[in-house]
Amino acid sequence: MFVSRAVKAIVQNRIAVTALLFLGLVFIVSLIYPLLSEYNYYAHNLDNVFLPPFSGKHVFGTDNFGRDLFVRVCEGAKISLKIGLAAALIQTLIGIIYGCLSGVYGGIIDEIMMRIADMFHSIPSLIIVILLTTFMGRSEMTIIIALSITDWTGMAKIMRGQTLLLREMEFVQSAKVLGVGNLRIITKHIIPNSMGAILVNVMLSIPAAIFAEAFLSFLGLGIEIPKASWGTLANEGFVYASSYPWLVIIPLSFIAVIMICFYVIGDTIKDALGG
Amino acid sequence: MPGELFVVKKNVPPQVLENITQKYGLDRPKLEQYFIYLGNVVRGDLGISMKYTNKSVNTIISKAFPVSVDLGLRALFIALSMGIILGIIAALNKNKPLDDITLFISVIGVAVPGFVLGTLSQYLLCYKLTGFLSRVTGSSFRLFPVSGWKGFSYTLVPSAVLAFGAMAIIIRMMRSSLLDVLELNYIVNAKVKGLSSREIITKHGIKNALFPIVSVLGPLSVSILLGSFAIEKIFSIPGLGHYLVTSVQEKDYTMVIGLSLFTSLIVILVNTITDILYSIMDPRVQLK
Repeated sequence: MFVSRAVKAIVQNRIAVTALLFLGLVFIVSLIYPLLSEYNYYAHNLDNVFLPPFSGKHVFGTDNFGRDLFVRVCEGAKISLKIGLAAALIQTLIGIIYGCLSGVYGGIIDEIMMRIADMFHSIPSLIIVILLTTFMGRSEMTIIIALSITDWTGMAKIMRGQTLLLREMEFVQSAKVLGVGNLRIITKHIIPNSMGAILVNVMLSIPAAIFAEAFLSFLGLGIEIPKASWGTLANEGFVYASSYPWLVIIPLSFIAVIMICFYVIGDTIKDALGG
Repeated sequence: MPGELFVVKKNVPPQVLENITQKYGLDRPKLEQYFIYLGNVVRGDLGISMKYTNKSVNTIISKAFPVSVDLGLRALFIALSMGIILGIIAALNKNKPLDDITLFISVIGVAVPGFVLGTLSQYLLCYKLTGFLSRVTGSSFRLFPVSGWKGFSYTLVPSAVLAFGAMAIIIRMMRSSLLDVLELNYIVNAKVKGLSSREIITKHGIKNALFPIVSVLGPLSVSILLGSFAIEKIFSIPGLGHYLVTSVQEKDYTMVIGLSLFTSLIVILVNTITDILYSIMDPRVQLK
């Protein structure tokens, strides 16, 4: 029900449809780019360094090692989207479980669980992520883990609120009287009735996670070479910004446009579901 | 653990190794090491940097923090003043072209990360525009220097960019808050009393519409503080973020932990202060 309402809201909004189409295009091209280009993202070619965009077969030009920037942007899209989606989904999952348990059990358990969530919430997650990646290394996996275990508090709070609200509703009360266990109440009643809030939260978490990853990589604390997310590409290109601006402008434009797309879609869904 | 302290043989002089071992009790059990560190922190000793010779983390914080505060306050000032003004303009021109323009600005500010805007504006304003002006006038005058923190002209672009995201949020809040306030009964009453609409807006509307802005000042200051990490990197400003980033890259553990601890402390402090401030300003809000 919530999903169909969200889809309908997007279809009816011209800007949201454009944003969705663009996201789809980036996603598909990032998967099939080996068919479109003969280059790969790691091979150096020192005869062709710093070629400007549209020179020969290099649509976006080449970087300081002569690597094709179009291919590197595609590879970066894959990494950025993967980290964004994975982190957002894991965060949401942790948040749902944590919030439901806290809300259903209530009392002293609720109190303790929420104070722990407050602790995570009061320290900026980027600081925790920086600390974690310092000690755990900086692979894709560790960044996903670091982002997921820091940013789940928002979802947990929303889910707890939903649980407290739904717990008092008559259909949940009567299920309880019939002897239905807590676990079944959570999965059969609370989660299905909170799908709207969950959907809105996922849509807002994805760009937040993409932003966090790009921010870290841009600072040089993210994905390590030769792999490159958009943030890493911008960080590498930043050094040459004065002479070869496209090396930094192209990856940054992708970050900016993708963020706007997610923002527009998230906003449309939020308006439609009243989240 | 990858990158554990002293795993890599880096020719540490035995005397230094012994001093550090003694200071942090590295030959004792892990739990005891932790409490030794905590004890030091409580006494205000965050340790000595492992990279910069003879500099304690405290010295570096005392040097870098004022720079970050300077940058942050400038950004906050720009965000507040521009955000409130643009928000008022948007509310008074509801559904007219001026409203759409401010909406566009705020969407850009909310959705586009600060470091993207920072890099692009450094390229456009500091390299292109400033270079162009110097060439045209033929002087060595630089309108917006590319990087550094040595005077007023150095502060303009970084603080404006840092302010942009917060400004976008303030614009939207101010707009909806002012529109809400103008619907309320006492505004109607003021109208009936015969006040001109200009007086109503300046004397009653804006004053009361400002409260919600105060409530987001805490989170906004925090986002400005974090955003400054990237801005400090882009414009080479020697603030806290600059040191935090370099110390992570160089695995300067005492610095990383010390600076993170300090930043978190500042964040909690800022949030507490704005909460108290809000309850003082708006008597309807009571702190429990």
